[in-house]
Amino acid sequence: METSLIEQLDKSRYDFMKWSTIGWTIWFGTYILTDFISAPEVPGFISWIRLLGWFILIVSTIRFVKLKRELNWDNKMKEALDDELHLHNRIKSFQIGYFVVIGLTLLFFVLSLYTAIPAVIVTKLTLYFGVLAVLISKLIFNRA
Amino acid sequence: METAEFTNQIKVQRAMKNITQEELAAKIGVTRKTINTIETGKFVPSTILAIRMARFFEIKVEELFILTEK
Repeated sequence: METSLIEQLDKSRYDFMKWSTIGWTIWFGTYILTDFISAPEVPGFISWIRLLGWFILIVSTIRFVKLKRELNWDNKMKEALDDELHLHNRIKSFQIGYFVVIGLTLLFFVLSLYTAIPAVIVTKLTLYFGVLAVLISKLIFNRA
Repeated sequence: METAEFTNQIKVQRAMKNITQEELAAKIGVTRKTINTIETGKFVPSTILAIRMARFFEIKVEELFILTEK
């Protein structure tokens, strides 16, 4: 198996993860930000930032789909990339995401006993930090 | 409670064969990161991967991976 190609594809995957994290942080972050900002001139500026985040997310997703399609013709390369360390790290990342979601749910539940929190904000924040926890932890584990 | 120390001889065997982590990874069918994390003891490989590595170095699995009971 070609050594440099595996490392190249592994680096591409890491870059995809990195840009997806940035894209998600910006894109979905603006939805949360607009819930807290009520100034009339801010939403226009935020929509441009949102567009940038969306663009980053779309480009990185296209690159990832392209990489997956390229790998389809080479099973050995696919197996090498999705090796047991990768699968192990993926499970760990999803576990972290799961605990973040459970922790946030618990936090919002306790807060709701004292104050009224809009359901849409709770849903957005839980989704945002849950996905972010998975992405960031996967990046950290893959850095080894 | 009894503890155990898990070590390996991958670095030594690599030096004897004069191959890099990247080359070993390609021979075994994993990424360099996997070899690196196993070699440094951060990740414990599956039995299948351990056997593959031992076969590549032409030694027994117990010679490549050492479990010392304390």
